[in-house]
Amino acid sequence: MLKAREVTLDNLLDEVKKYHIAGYRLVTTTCVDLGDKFDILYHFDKDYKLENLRLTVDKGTKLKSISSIYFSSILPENEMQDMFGIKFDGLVVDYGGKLLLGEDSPLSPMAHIQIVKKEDTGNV
Amino acid sequence: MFRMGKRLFENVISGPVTRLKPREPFEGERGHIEIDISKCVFCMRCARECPCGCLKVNRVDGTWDIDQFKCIACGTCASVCARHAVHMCCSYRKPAEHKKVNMYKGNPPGKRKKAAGSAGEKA
Amino acid sequence: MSDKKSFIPFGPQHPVLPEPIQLRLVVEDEKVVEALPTLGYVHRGLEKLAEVKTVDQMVYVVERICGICSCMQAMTYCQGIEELMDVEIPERAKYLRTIWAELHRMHSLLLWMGLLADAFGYDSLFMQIWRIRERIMDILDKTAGNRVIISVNIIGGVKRDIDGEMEKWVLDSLDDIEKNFKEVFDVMKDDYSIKKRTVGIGVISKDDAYEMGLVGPMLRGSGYPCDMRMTGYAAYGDLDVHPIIEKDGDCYARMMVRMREVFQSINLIRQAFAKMPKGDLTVKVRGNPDGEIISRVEQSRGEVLYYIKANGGKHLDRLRVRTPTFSNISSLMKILPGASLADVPVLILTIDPCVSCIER
Repeated sequence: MLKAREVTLDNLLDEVKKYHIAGYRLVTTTCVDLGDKFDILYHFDKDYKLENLRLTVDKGTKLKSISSIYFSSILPENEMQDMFGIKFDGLVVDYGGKLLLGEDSPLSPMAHIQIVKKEDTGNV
Repeated sequence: MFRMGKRLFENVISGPVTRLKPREPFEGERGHIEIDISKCVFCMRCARECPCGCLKVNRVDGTWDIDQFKCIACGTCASVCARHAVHMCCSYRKPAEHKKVNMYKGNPPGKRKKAAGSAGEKA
Repeated sequence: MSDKKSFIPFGPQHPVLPEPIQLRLVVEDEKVVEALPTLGYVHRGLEKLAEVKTVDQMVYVVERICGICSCMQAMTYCQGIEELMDVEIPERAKYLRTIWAELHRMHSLLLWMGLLADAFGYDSLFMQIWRIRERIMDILDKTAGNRVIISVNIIGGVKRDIDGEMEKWVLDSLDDIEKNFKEVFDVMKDDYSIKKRTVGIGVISKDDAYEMGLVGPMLRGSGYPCDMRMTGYAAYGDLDVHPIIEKDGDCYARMMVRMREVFQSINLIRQAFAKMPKGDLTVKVRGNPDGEIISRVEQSRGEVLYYIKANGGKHLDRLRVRTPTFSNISSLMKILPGASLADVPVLILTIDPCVSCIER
């Protein structure tokens, strides 16, 4: 199973700075859609051992970007902007939602759109 | 400069190393899928397991269709078939001008029981 | 704003560019000042298919993310699911997976070398290297049924076997391939024009490479020893494998790392055939996976990471693939500024780009 430490929006940048000073490298970031929240995971690696951070936010929150500490996080964060519609604050290189999708693509394709069921009246 | 000279000379003399298609296929080559329809009992396992959805099996009418142009020749249907009716052939699929579906017609189990009860066989 | 700056779109179609990627270059008097890569030409949305296809059918989808490293993508996915379901596959299946993975590593590195020779304009060397590569494709064709996408990995083991006559033929072919490749290695190591175009170009220091998050031969060419095969997945725990490093960090060093890895792969295949035990090929797997897991494998371009989340049903909840070129491409923004315009194709090829891996 996966061992991950929980962080909140406020102490995210401090925890990431601690890993940077200790010599870890950023492998990637992952986003999972849990229905009404997003689960964002950060994976760090040093000497073949992985450490993970988990951040759970409601849909519609604006997140702080870690690209000022780790430059290699610009591509995963831009991809999350395209696919899930999450907005980032302080991205060093911002593609504005056009990294992978085109002009007439559907908006945020990986986030589940809630389908509201009509009430069953009994008629076919 | 002439370190590779001997190798270059040999390569020029021996001709191209690639082989043109259509060629004799190797043994165990993944070519295309065929079925022996007399052995099929229409359990529909092959259609459920197929990753690309190229098989259409109708239990009531007794038809088995395969779209050869969608098939990826992975061999999953051949390995799950209980009666070994579906098998992989070595030869390649021929190119064609229009996409067509290969259709086979067999005897589904319901009609087989009725045919065994009455005298003749229903088509 | 100086009058001498001009904007060149090094576009998705270009005779020397091997992949559909666009680079927006700002050039001043033959020297590149800024560079920005633009993607999105081959996005297929394969991660979303994981919610529609079942766990068994996803093996065939994952294989088709990239045509060159297809066997290793399937191997990573199968390893992740097997660890999640606590399934131990037979020893013979582990060795067979290793053999096919090393064959794929060899043909990917030879393909890259041919493209590098083509980028200098050295077309006859390109043809001679691909002639050697055809022998490896013949081995894959005879043992697995197909040249490029071989579909031998399934959850629980492998589908085919290599034994007896086939094993002897494979080892004889490998001897021939090694002899031919040694001649090419001697030529590429000492040639005057190749050295003029690669030594001192695109230098990345050891700390910079680690800081930028590079993986694979880019990290090893700058002197940092990191190779995922040392963790001992599949049969690598029993084989003698160590990271190959070079100290300089320029294009020449990365080329030497990749060429030496071809020789290492041939040795690993010989060791694997010598130590392979007899036994079954698959193990019956029942039930559905449940939980989260991360699985990492060393592909020919670097380290790949799979994040799999399952909930006990027939479909996966989330499948996330981070391929090695995804990490390496952000280094283009740091090594291109300061280079001259004629060196741009060599610098793009030195990271070994594979754009269908980045965009999935």
